[in-house]
Amino acid sequence: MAEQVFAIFPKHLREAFLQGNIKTDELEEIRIRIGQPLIFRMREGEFYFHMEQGRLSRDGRLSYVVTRSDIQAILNFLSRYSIYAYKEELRSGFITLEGGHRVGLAGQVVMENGQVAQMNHISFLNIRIAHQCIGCAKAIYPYLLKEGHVCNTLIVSPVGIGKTTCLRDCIRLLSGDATSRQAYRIGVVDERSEIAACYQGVPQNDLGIRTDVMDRCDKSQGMLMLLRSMAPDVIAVDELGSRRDFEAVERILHSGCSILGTVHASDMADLEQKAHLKPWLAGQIFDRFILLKRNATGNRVYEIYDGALKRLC
Amino acid sequence: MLKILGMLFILAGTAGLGREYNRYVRQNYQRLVLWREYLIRISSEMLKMRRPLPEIIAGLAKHAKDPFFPFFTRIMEELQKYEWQSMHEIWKLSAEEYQKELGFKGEVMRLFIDCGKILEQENETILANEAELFISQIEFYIQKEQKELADKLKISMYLCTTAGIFLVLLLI
Repeated sequence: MAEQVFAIFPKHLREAFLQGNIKTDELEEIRIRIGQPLIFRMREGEFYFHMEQGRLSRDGRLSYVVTRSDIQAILNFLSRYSIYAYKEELRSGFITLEGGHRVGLAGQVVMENGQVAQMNHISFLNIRIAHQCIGCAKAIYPYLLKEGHVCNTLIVSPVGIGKTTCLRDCIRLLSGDATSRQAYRIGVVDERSEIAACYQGVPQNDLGIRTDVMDRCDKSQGMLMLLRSMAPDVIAVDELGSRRDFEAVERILHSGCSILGTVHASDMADLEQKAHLKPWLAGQIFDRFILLKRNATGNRVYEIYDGALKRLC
Repeated sequence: MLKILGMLFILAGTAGLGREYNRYVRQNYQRLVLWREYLIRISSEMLKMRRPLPEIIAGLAKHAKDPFFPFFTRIMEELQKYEWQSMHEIWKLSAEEYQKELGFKGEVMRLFIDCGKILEQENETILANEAELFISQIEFYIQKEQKELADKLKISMYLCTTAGIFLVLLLI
């Protein structure tokens, strides 16, 4: 894992990191800003990289300061010397690396007709290390099925609780492996490459063996394309929000295919306030709602509701 | 008898020299044509197919004819090391290393080294314009070479034959 991320750094940094015995399991982010200290965000907090000592430290005074040529080299390496081939990724503000790690980019944006045309002078990078949480949806899985069919399910939570992680594991469990007796064909529309984290079209996250991914595709279009082309049992999408998304979901539901999606909402009351969802809640179109939240001790907990919003567990 | 043999040797030798020079002139022309072809291929794959450079170069390294085969293979090797911060640096290094094999001299060699700069271009409009500019410059050298080719070939043949006859006359 460390090699995949460190491989995009210039040689002098790459070698220093590998010799520096950095605990990559605990690494969450690497923040790179031109003219500023290189910051490693670990589980325990922020650390600076001391080049001379070749190690991480909480003391930022001797920290390695990022130069323009470092950023240029990183951009060259992560794009494999082909930044021209990443025009769409630059416009969306991130590039996915092998292993599913994501590099967020910021710099000078050129706008054309109110749209981002391109990004120049990229000076800020944020490398987010991918950590799959395999098995986190195991307890939820039995509630996703009813009489051999996958229930239309919405995973609901506020930001940062783990909707996408939970959705990813649900997909993996439903798609199954070669030993699964009960498994389903899953079509994933991964608009922001967060679910599958495809690198050159290949999912870097484990989504099971019966999953097809439409990567970086508009959700509403992708859902209909998958329905027509891949005959899925379930279509999985992240962050349903716009009117077009909900229109596409309605067409999917009428085709007999199940939906596994996520929605932003702080709780069930907040969910009921969402205008696009009101007719579905009234018609009990969704069979399951999984509410993820943090308890008083900061741990993630879940509540499961049926279509009538009656709590099941 | 010895004189006849000597004459034959001299004539054969001078004809051979002429032929070798002709081959060299033709090779020069073919190298320029190949360079133009590879540059068109690289820029088209970058612009139209958006293939990453390592894939484009790997494709060229596989199918390129001599003297470009070792040149592209060397670039491929350097690309895989992820040590060079700039693509143009790799191109330049490889071009200088294989300068003898490539056979380009003077301003043509400088143009060959400079055309590696398009590989670093991020903006596709500028990339397309730069590629067009380099291709038109190569075209210029190809046309120049084409014009001179026939004349050079004729002159070399006449010179060699005349030199041969002159030596034969001296021998008599």
